Amino acid sequence: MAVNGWMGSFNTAALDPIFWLHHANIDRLWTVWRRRKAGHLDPTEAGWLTNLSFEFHDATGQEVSFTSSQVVDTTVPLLSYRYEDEGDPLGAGLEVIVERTRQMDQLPEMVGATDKPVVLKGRAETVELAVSQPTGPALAALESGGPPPPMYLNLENVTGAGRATSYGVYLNLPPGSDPKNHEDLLAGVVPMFGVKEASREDQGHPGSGLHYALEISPVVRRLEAKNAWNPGEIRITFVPRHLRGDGLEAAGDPIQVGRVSLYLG
Amino acid sequence: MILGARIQRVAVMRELLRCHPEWWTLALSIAAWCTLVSRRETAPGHAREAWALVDDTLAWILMVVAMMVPLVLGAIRTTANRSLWRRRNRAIAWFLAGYLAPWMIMGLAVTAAAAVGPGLSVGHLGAPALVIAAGWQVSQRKKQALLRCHQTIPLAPRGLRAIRDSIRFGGLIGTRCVASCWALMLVCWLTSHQLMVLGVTAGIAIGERYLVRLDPRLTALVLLGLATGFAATAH
Repeated sequence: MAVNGWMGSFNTAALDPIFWLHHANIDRLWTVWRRRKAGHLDPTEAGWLTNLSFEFHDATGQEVSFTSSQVVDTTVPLLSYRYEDEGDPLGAGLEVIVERTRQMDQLPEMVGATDKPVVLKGRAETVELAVSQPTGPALAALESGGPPPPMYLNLENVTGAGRATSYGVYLNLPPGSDPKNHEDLLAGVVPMFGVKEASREDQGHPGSGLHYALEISPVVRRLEAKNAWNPGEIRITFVPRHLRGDGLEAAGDPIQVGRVSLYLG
Repeated sequence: MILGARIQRVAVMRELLRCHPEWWTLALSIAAWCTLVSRRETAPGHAREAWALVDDTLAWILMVVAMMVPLVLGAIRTTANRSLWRRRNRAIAWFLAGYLAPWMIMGLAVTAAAAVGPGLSVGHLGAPALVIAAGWQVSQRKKQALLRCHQTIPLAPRGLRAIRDSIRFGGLIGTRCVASCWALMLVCWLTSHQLMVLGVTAGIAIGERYLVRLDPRLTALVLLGLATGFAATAH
């Protein structure tokens, strides 16, 4: 999912109508999760229920203040509504997800990373990863004869001082080619939502920036099928998702990706 | 059967250690605690002999390793997990070197001050130090300093850059830890490493690091309670 425009920033996101649909659905899914199992309960600490208050404006423009405890149950006043559809969207598929989560218990092993930050300035940017042979749990998994461990691309310590556009992350994109013709090499899109706030040292953040983990196993399988996969040399290309009229550059402030790393397992 | 069970136990233990590369730093901390306890039994308080500065510096190092290393197990794990498998332990060692450096600077300053000003480390200063520490616990600066202890930085995977980054990460977290926990460590020093004080302050430091919702006012109250006890016994 790419996020841009009003939705790209904490302070302006609520100006976009999609914000309300998006968050109403998240709230609905929260209700679905609570109804799924007896043990699915909200925390009871005052830290989130009553210690923090949030300022809003009512229909007359007057400033009003609410705590989470006043709105966490939508069926009682102040809100007094019930979602039309509280059915579980996963239904019988839930067990599959639980099984997959169990498989993910394997210890991940870092096998390659960039040794310098990557700066994104609204244009396509490519970095190469030198990958080492695994020597730990990933090697054991490979030697066990079972399915190969999943591969993850981590984008660590992503920082920026202003509004930034979303970037598509491509694996081994042929040099000079148009990314639109290679959507099969797209590992994922990183939206950069909240990057400014996560980069700032303040009372809510230590300033480490954002982190993303993209599973690239499906893309690797497609590259293997085309005989275009060499595990020792990996090329990552960041492509802005929303280009200006010239089709070359995106609006927004520069972003720094502290490190791109590859994990197995 | 017995052999099979033993082999299984060893396998479980090996897996546990593989999953927790920070285990040996925790073992270091436990060893430092044991040494502190045995030192209390043989030579309580600060030494006043010619080698006092060396002895006091050693005591400071033990105190830092015992009390502060458990606070950075998360950062140590991050260092290991963000390193190539074969250099995980080396990366942790470089991190620790960087982490201990700011604490050593503070320790040298404190021990030097204690050597110059006789009587600085006696129990009389314990109560005022505890009151200052209680005030620091509820300050906004403390809250911010504590949050900054969770920062991470990118680590290069290989070569001298990897060593440099591990030391830099350790130094950064160490500096942030000094900024957050200086008052608690000063209390420990000024109360001549009394085990009860060490235990309580270590509990507070660990609690505020790992229990997200620990109320700082509660930790301040505990410190004020200790201060009252010290003031009562000092007179």
